[in-house]
Amino acid sequence: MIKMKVCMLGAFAVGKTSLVQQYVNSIFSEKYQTTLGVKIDKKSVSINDQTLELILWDLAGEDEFIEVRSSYLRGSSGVILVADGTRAETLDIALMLKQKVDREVGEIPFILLVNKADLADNWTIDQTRLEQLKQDGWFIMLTSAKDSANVEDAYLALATKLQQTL
Amino acid sequence: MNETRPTELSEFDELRRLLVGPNIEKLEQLAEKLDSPEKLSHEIGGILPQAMKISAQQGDRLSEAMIPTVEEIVRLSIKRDINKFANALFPVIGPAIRKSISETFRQMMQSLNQVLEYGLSWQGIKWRLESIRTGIPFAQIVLLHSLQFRVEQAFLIHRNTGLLLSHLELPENQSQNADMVSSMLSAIGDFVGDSFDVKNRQALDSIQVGDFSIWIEQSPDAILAVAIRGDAPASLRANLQQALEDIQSQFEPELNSFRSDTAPFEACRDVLQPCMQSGYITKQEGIPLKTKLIWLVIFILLAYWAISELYLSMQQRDYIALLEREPGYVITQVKYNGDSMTIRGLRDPLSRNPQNYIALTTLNTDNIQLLFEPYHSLDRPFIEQRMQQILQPPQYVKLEIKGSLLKISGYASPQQVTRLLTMAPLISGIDQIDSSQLSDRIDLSELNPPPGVKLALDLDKGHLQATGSALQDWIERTRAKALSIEGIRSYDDSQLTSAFDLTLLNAPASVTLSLQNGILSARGQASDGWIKTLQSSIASYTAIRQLDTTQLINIDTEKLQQQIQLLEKEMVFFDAAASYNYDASDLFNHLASLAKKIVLLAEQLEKPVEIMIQGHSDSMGNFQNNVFLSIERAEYVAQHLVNSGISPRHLQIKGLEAPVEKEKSLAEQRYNRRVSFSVSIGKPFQN
Repeated sequence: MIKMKVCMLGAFAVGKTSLVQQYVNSIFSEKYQTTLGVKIDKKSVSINDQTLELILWDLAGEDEFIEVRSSYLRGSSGVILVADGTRAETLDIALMLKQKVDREVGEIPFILLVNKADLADNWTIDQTRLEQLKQDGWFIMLTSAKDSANVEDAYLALATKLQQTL
Repeated sequence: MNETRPTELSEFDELRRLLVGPNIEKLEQLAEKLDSPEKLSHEIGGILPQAMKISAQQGDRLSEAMIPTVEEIVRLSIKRDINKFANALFPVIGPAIRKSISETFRQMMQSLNQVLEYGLSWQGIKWRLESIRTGIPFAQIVLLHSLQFRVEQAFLIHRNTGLLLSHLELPENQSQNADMVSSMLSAIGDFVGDSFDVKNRQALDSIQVGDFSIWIEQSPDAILAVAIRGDAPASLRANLQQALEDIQSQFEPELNSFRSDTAPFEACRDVLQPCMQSGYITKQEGIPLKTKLIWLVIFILLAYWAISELYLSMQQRDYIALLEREPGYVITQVKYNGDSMTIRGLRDPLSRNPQNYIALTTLNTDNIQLLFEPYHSLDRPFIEQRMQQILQPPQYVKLEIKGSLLKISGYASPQQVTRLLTMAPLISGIDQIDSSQLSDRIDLSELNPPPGVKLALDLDKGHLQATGSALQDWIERTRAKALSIEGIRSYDDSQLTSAFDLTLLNAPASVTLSLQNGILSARGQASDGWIKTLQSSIASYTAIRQLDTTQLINIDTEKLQQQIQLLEKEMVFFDAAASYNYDASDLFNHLASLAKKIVLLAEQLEKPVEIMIQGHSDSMGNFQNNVFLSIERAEYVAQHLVNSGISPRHLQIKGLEAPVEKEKSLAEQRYNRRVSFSVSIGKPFQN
């Protein structure tokens, strides 16, 4: 059995929870995030006849009042960074969190999900920044939990990266 | 090139020999051993056991090093010949299985005892209500209340990643969320560590919620968390520590290098298993009395049921055995269904009723279904019974069976013989018939019946009837001979008339004789002597049983009566007052003649005879004188008869006995002056 710890990181209210609901197995409520700062979920992904059990640590969104606990990052095999396309500052927080992961855990497979792709009219993130990040080797997907766009593909993409490390 | 002179060389060798000679020999011996695999193996074989023993005392390194090799050896051995491995394990597997079964049974009994113990108590009733209220099975409620503690789950968690490496749980607590729970436990541990600034290597060791708690033990690379219901003893934590230490030591490389693959940690389950402990509240030692009583009742009921079933089974088997032994039955199938059974087979209709045998047992007739098809048994008693039933032989026909041969003998009427020979081949079990001794006729010629005799023979009854008329001699001979003829069982000649030769009786011409049914009738007239001769002689004739002479007249008796009538008509008259009559001499001669004939005939008939001479008187004069006068007159006549030769012993005289009525005329007076006569034959007169 292949199990991997995956942390979901992002600014406050970027829609991490919405990317989890309906797509994963969950037994804990969201109140754990407000108390412990983390909620554990599980996602099974099958790739090339191999099943990977992704244990998702959905960490509380980071803002000026809440900081992601470094201890929660320990032992992670992968990271899902989440930003809100309608709030450009959330991309900065995602970049900052990526650096934090690099410091605490080292370089591990990650993807960046720019959420709320369905709200194109309110889009504030500069596309050139995303293009620049892609050129730097970042894997970026535009997702929408509202219409399920790219959500399953996002988990599959990260799992593929993780499988390559085995 | 360096060149050494021979002298220097020998000196050098000598010097070397002196300095290291002994060591060179040892080195050469050592080199020889190392170069020879056989010698080297021999040497290593000598020290290997000791070396392995010392290594084992120093730690597990040798054992761990040998694990892959031993595993491979076992795998190859099984692959090569699994039977050898199975035989080697056989002595181990048996006791292991027995121990496992025994443990399981012990736990089941313990659980059952608890249910029984609490099931009938007030507390048990409360728990049963709780079971109804909560929907949890009663046995589980009892278990929860009687539990002191129970380890329900054990999590082996990788300390760095928080990922679940191995997990054990009770069968009734199947959970799909152990991965998430273990990560959350890890997160909580991190949360506590971060929040309260605990020192390095110190961490959360327990979480308590009501009667439920989680005990946590940590090693450098792993966390062991167990979920406990109830109050666990402190010794459990020592057990947890020991288990975790064992895992840390046995799986240290795997724990250090772990990133995602949990497969190597499957083996941890065996180490974790002893942590799955439980403890029960023991109220008292031994089994409670109530439980014992309940067990006793259950045992008695089971024993009663078992004995009843056994008894029923024996009764059923006995009944079947009875039927199997009974002639005329073939049992082909018996089906049991609880208390009832169905018996199928064949039954000869002549066999005894199977229901009669049920009465010999305690079986209920309603529980036995008998489905028999009819058949003809070839047992001899059944053949004989069937033969009698079909042939119904006449009384004197004998039937005898020898194997499949039926021998018919005796006598019967032609109709019966025809019927017997027609029906006999129809009997099951009879293949051949011998009727050579069966006859429908009897030769009666030896009886030689006279023309007046008819013989009727009933062969079926063996009865011969003779009718008609025959001489007594023939009748006698036939009666003695008839039953000696084979086939004749009875003879009747009651309707046969005897033909008697009446001339033997020498009857006078005036007599007619006839013999009918043994009665000889004689008609006509005959002398007394012939009649007496006939009466005395018929006793010698068996053909004459009785003599009828009512129509036969005895001539001698008739003559006597005629003479008596003549005499009794005669009277001798006297003159008035006279006791003599001198003019009646002719009359006296006539009277004497008659008297002589009467006496003579009576003597011939051998009958006594008396002649009464009665004197009479008229009414004139006195009565006394008239009595004397009447007597004198009778004596006067009697004297004349005596004088004529009549014996006085045949004569009686009698005078007047009463006064005579006054006569109305002289003729009446003259008539009264007379002597009259009366004769008695056979008996004397009364004086």
